[in-house]
Amino acid sequence: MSNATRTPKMRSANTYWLSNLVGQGAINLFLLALSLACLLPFVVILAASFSTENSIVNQGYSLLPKDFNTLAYQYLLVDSAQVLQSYLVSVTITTIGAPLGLLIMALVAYAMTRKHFQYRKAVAFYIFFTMLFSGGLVPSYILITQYLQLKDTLAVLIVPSLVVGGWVLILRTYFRDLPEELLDAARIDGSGEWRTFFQIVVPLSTPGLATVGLFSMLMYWNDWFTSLLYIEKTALFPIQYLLYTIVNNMDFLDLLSQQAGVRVDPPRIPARMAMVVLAIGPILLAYPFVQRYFVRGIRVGSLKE
Amino acid sequence: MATAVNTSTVRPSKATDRLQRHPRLQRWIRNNGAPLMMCLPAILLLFVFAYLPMFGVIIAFKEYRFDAGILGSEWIGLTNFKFLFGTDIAWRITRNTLLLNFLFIITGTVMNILVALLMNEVQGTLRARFYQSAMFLPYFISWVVVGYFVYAFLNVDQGILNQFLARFGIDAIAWYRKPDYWPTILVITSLWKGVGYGSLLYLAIMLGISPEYYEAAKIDGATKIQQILYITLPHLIPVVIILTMFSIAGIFRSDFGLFFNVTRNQPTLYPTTDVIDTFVYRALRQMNDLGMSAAAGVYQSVVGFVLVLVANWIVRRIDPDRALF
Amino acid sequence: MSDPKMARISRRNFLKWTGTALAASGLAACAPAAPQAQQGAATTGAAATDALVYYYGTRANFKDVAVVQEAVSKFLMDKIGVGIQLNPLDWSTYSDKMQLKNAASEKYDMAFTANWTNDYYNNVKNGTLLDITDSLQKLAPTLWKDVNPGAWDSARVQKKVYAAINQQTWTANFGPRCPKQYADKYGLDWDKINKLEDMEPFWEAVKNGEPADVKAIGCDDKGSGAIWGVYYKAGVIGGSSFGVINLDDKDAKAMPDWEFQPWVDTLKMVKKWNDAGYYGKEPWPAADFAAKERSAKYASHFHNNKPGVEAEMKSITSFDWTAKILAKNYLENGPAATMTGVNKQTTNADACIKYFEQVNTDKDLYNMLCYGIENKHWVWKDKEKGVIGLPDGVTAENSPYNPNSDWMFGNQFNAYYTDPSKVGAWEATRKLNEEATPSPVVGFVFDQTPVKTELAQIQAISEEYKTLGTGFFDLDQALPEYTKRAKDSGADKVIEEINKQLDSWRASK
Repeated sequence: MSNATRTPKMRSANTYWLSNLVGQGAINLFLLALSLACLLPFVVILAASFSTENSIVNQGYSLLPKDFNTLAYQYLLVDSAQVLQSYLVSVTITTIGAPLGLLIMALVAYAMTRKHFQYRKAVAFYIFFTMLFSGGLVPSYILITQYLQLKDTLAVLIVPSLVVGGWVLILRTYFRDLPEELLDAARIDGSGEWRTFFQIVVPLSTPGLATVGLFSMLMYWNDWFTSLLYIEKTALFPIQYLLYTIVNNMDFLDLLSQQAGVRVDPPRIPARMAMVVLAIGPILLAYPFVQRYFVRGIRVGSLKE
Repeated sequence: MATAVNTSTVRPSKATDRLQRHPRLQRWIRNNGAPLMMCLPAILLLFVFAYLPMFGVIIAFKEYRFDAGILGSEWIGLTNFKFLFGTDIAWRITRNTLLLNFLFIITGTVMNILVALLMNEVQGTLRARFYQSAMFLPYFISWVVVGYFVYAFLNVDQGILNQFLARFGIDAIAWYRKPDYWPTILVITSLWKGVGYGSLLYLAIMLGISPEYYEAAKIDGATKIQQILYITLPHLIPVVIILTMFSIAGIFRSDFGLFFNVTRNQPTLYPTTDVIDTFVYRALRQMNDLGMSAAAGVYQSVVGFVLVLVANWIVRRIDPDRALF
Repeated sequence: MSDPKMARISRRNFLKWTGTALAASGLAACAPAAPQAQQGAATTGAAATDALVYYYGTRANFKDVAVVQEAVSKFLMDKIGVGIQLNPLDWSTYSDKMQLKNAASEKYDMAFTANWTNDYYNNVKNGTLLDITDSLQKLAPTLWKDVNPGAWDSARVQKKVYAAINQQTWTANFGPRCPKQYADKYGLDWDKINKLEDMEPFWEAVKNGEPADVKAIGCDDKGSGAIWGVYYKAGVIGGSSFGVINLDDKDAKAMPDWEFQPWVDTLKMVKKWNDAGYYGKEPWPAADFAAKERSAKYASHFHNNKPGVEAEMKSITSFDWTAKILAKNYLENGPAATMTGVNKQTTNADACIKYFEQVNTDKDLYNMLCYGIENKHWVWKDKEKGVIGLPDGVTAENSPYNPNSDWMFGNQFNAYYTDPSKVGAWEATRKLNEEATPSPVVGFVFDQTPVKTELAQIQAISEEYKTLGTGFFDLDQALPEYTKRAKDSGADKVIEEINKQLDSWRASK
């Protein structure tokens, strides 16, 4: 393993060392600039979430909060029990949905790479077709609420999105990169497809699996639309949907207060910023655990012996 | 269930007598049994949640009434599709959708590969982790908030860009009234938001390339650039092909959030930013006609489908292994 | 062993397990309204008579919905023999959710429906709502008599009423409102303002006297701040987003807006104001408008200045306001803005109508829905005048029950006042409603099916010109362009169809 990651450092000639230094400098400069372009807006979001709306609108955004206050957070977190419950729901659907979906998708993707499997193209078409055509909201709604009776269940937040056609096909390309001889050798050794999959394919494909796994995690974590369609019980609101409703309800308050007595005037823009912060937090904590597969992936060569 | 157990056990020595009397069936099971079982969960899930509701596309050909239901509503042929054609807008949205998607495909692919290549070369785990985490952040920022920032950057009075230009004696530009700039602005925004996510797909491939290739190349005296050209990039081709296929399938669709929020839905920008999805939103917002919105979806799908079939046919002619299906 | 089988079993168990775990955790208990009635309805049908399933909008998830539901149910049980199941849905998702339910013919009893959310006309057209014209007169006689006939007309589709009207402000009350500081500083005298042009000296003074970031006329990029049709007597046509009628013409015919000279004149006037710099360089983004308003960044804004508006504006901006109504008082589709409809799928239609009668006549019941339980969610401040307030330690933000939507549940004129300065506003509003001149097309609803292609295209085109109303367009170029493009998309055909339907509606009256 260490061999693989250190190869660039093993160059001995002086010119190599120098060009490497210059190259590294350029690379780091570019990536640093790009990273800052991505990081600074987030700092601005953080600052804005602690600013007053008046200061943002009249003086613009800044890297430090103006008129520091926590009104936006108070507004979003007023029902703390509900917020905790919603985090729990989100964590549950993400930790069940992502690994389960990854397993199901990896299995079908692997099957499609087996040359002796005569229906592999048909399956690929079957999967790809779902990326193109969908029946639309109403038929899905009727199916899920009336025939499957999944409205207001945890299952509806997980099961329908377990398989994402595009990711299956991406996984297939990753698996195709595995050395064919290795898999054939395993077959000759009498290893069944299941064993080959779990003992050889999975360990050799960690970067690809981690990528799709991460995407799947993010999909479950960020999904508010499924809840909009199928969830009415607040106990089953995932955090993103809870925040979505709170923040978007604000746009209706003007309309409501034209009719009703008291006007409620929430910090609209800071609350939208705070929503980003609140929704991103837990994912940022989980990210480093997934990330090690991208920075120092377990390489094919290192596992061969 | 008995057959299921048998099929998943690929050891010929354990096959039953009955099977041995049917060698063709036996071979079929040996080749297809386990793979089919592996496909089964995904096939079933997609059948229920994707294929069953798909019959609902017939709404596009009906005057849908809630109380009559999908089957009971009256057939009206292609009437629901008519609003998509025959105006000067039809040409504009088709051109913008195709052109912008084309721009997104090219710039996105180049940028994501470039960043993945550079990430792959970074020495020092800490730095690599920092870059990667930072570049992922924009993914979490909703288009609504991105729209706020773009406005803060571009508004005519207090916009950061205009203030910057003023230092060089350049007069304030009313960006939201200058449609010509907007394809560029949309491309930059879209690249910025997608680079962390998109480059991962390529990085994952690069991390899987066996170091032996590079070691051998080094011994042959290949430069870094040559290694990238002859080892790394060829490995990326299958992913590029597949992602391009996905983009072609969705060539008539657009990221509504990007087009609606970043342009702040300003009519002055429509000449270059109005796409099929924003047009359909505008046209049907008040009418709420389910048949017509289904028709728009079918139109987008059918065009994507035809184009993908063509693209797939071309790829298969060149290299059958790389075709999608 | 077969692995997928294992995987399937364990998956199912796992789901079941986590579901139970979540349900068992005490937190899950904060769900409102156990859906017992829904289950009953799904299985037997007869059991559904226990509680009326009622959907409506809410601005937040209030913990005490279940408490209020119990109290309201108990009250209703005594009076009409059924309970109620309150199903508040967030306003931000209400329309989408209800349209899906209706499109799927989902079973429920009553729902809030209006011309701005969960579209009433669309629901009627699609057969979601029950015709209650006769049953209202029979089972809700007090409600029927209390609402004036012109208002019932405005809820009619093909002569039939499909929803109960909640009384509230129905008229447009259009006019300018100003932060008092600017009105005082530049000597704005309402007595001398009889039309908008009379404001011009004031705007000119503001423009010259205030820094550039204070606009003489405040507007946003969604068209808020444009002059309303009612000011230049352009009436809306129910069920159509295109075409106007002359409000003062009894036999008015529909015409495209560009043929309606008062509209064109208004655009020219607005363009003049914009060129004079009263609107600033760009309209504000809609998202910024509230903050601009709170920081007094405009000197005037056109809006609905209903009775009590000054106090209301002060309560959010904490500075004083002054306002005037400058439009004639018309009754258009205002009543259709707040209604409750009965779902065709209900098995308990009569109970729904009886409920309408109760909630619109019984102050206790109505205010329980609006404000919750006395001493728990609200306390008397001045019982004689009907003013209430929040209990000690409860704020508008942390109250466990504070929907702040009295107009949604029933007759707003029965609501307690939440601010002493608003005492008397209901009587004033009722008077405005009753004095209003009905639009010549009240009760006409256009069936757009024959021209839906044209209408969709025109809709997409006219949205491109929505900022015409705030003068940010070159009028000489934009107006002919708009006219030509709309005509190319079949504007004439749409107008012709509207007039055809209008004629047959008049003939059958």
